[in-house]
Amino acid sequence: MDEKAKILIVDDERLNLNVLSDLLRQDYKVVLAKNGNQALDRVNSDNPPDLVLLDVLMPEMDGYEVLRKMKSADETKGIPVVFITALDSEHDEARGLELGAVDYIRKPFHPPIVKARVKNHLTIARQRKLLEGLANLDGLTEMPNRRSFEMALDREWRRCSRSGDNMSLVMLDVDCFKQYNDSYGHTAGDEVLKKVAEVLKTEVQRPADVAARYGGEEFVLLLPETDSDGGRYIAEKIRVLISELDIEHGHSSAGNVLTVSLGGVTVVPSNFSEAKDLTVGADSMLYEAKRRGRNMVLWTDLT
Amino acid sequence: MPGEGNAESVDVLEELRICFNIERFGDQLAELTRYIENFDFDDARDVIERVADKLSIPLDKR
Repeated sequence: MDEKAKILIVDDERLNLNVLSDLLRQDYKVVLAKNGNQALDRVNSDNPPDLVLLDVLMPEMDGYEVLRKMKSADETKGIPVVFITALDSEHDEARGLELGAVDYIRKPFHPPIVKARVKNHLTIARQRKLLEGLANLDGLTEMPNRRSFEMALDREWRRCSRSGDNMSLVMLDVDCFKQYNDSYGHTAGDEVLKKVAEVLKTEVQRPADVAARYGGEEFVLLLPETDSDGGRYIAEKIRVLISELDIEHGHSSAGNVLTVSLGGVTVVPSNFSEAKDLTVGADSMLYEAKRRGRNMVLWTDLT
Repeated sequence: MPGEGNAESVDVLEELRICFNIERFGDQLAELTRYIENFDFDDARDVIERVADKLSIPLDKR
């Protein structure tokens, strides 16, 4: 069974919190906040709400300011916010909606309408999350796609730039994949890609690490806070594990079984370099590995 | 639950009332009830932390 959606109700009036909480508690997990700062604490928690019902008029920080702060942070800007307020002018409503609220309910409210609107907005939010997930996933291997990888690279590059940590990136290419497809058929080729993806998914499991399908028979591993020894170790392990899958490949120049070539690079991200340099570096190592005979790991350490 | 502002804290309060040693923690229970019924969860959490400390019960960090 699906876990109950979580709704944050923000209002400085105890009575309003009571009424709305009683209205929604049966269907949802309800959390409450009595001011703007508490609301921001709740939305920035490890388990943020799926929807926020937000009062406008509150002391210290009003609802507009809470929404503005939520919209300015990547982690919270996607949480739908419904204003529920005694401010009843069209100007106030327009302001709330222009700031990014998904709806605006005027007090006194009609409870069944509040319930219906909450339900509708949660449905929309759930569908949007699903679409976002699909847009970032490779359909064949069900692992992150290139778009997802590039977003992660950008995010981790900025993070490591701030912390001064190493960052490693590996590009992996299935050796003689065209010949495999030509000999065994595209369905068999797809199965091989799925098996390679399974190895990568199993071996790359730290929270910030990303294994993604870069395109065709090319995969990429993003390894933040990893030095060249650590990166090379995992790349070599993956190379061995894939050859040990023992998938027959009678038309490969690298052996009788399916193999992969890997190129890796380690850098310390800084303001003087760009994230794409990492991809270019790993790609040139991969090219060199293929030129030297395939089924190998080549690495460059630029730290 | 008060730490995350959970509305069900009010229900749990009833269960907690049974478990509390009223003679020892009567004041704290009254204080806790007042805060939770008023949805002042941060203050409620402080009371729970004080009681837990006296009973040597470790709590999750905020």
